[in-house]
Amino acid sequence: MSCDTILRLMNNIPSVLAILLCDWIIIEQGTEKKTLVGVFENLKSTGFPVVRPMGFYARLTDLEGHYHFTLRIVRLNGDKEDFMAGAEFNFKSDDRLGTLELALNLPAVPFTEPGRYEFQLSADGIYLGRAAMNVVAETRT
Amino acid sequence: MQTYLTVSDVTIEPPGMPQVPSSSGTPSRISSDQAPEVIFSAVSPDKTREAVDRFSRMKERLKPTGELLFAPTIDARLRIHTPFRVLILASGDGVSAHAHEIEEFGYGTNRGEALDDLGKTIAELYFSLASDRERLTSDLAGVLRFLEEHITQVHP
Repeated sequence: MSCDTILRLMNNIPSVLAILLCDWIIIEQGTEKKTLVGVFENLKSTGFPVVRPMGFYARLTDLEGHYHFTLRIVRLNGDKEDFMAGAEFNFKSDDRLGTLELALNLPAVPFTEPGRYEFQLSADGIYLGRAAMNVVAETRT
Repeated sequence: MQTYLTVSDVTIEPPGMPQVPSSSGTPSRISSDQAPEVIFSAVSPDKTREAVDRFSRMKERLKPTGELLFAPTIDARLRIHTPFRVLILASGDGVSAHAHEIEEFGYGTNRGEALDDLGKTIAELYFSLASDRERLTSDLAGVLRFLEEHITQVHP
């Protein structure tokens, strides 16, 4: 879809309150409160490729209407980006003052080699923000 | 009202890759009436043909275009209500993000850094022009008008 079409059709743009990466997101049954376990920015591994289950958490507000969210996980390779994985999901909100929490426990994110990786969040083709992490090779001692 | 979305039933673990043990903590998995339709794919040489095709289709769908619509939170006091059009330009030693409608640039070693830098630049420009609103030349007043068509100051 072209930028002109997106701008013509767009809903209210969500405001991002937080984007975090962690080991796991625990959701308490009943209260639905979230506990983010092990918020991190650096991941060390002695071998590659490595697969790592991890949590992606985003909190947004100012949503009104139907949204198509996309999450792109990319490896930054100089001035290029290598697409590693992604997720897409739809959401409808009729309460602009409410908040939406994306609490995604991603089962296995592949990291092919050391470097910097980004989790890029967009809604209806509009870039909202990112979380970045470093994957570091650790030598076994 | 607070809503949340979870991924609870998706498995993409490619076989044959070493697994880093995760920290303790078992996620509760609560089904939601608004459970998202999630497709999650990953690179793996061992995937089935169908999975590889699905991944390729997703990769194509999510491929960034030359022009980006930019509306992140650039400052806690500001809210972008209409996205800026931004061109991502790669050069030999980094990436620049060019908001061509206002001739502002952000620079970084990668796209994310360039966009972060552009966000800071736009926020600084907005505050700078807004604080001198009464004394601006017509050109700068035009830039401020354009910014105010895209940005609202929500906190002083």
